[in-house]
Amino acid sequence: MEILSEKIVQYVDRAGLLEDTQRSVLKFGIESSLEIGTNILVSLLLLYKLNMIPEGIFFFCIFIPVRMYSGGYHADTYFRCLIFSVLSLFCVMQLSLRLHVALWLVFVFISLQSVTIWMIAPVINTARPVSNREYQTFTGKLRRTLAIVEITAGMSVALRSRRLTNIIMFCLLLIFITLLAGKIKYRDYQMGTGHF
Amino acid sequence: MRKIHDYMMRKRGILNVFMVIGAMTAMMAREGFCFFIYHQPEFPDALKDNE
Repeated sequence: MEILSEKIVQYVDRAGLLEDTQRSVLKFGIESSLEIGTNILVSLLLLYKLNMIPEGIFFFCIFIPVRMYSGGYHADTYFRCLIFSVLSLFCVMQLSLRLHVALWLVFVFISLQSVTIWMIAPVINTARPVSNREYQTFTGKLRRTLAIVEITAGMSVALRSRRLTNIIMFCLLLIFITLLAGKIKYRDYQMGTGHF
Repeated sequence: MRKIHDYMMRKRGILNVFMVIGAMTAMMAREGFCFFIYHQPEFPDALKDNE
């Protein structure tokens, strides 16, 4: 993806009119778009094969905002990221179908996970340095998002939707695991910045 | 010639789309801690908050 984005930027800027900073921002944006686009496409194909597109969209509606503001583990290469994304999506979708536990118990587990994520996140990483101001802003946004997730979980329990409640629980569990992995992987970096 | 011209125009259109989406993604990346996928390219210095 990095090579492809570099080539696209070279082609766009054949006349050499862009400054270095503009080129770096554009390359970052194009590379990110290609990676996110590929992930979305592969995820949609998998969901189509599993015949679970609405459940998958619900999963992403919960997962994306929480993950964006909580941070956590990132793979060193895009290929590993893609494999991990596909496997985790497959596991969440399959487990949400197979778990048959009392809804109130799942809700209690969701609440416990939300409190844990509230306490340990955000987990910063080396690829995205943040200032103290950004850290405070993202913490506030994450807490508001978790409150909305908790309300959504309450509604899915009230509607007696086992599948949606299970998806929320496994989604938060996945985020919790990535946060722990991020805490371990970026421990030294977090210690250095004072955000551990 | 017309076919080649159309092809080039189409390709140029694709590049413009890449430009717009790339710029939007780069700007939106400032609004979150990280991307939801498990890989993030190196954040450019120009986008860092230097507060």
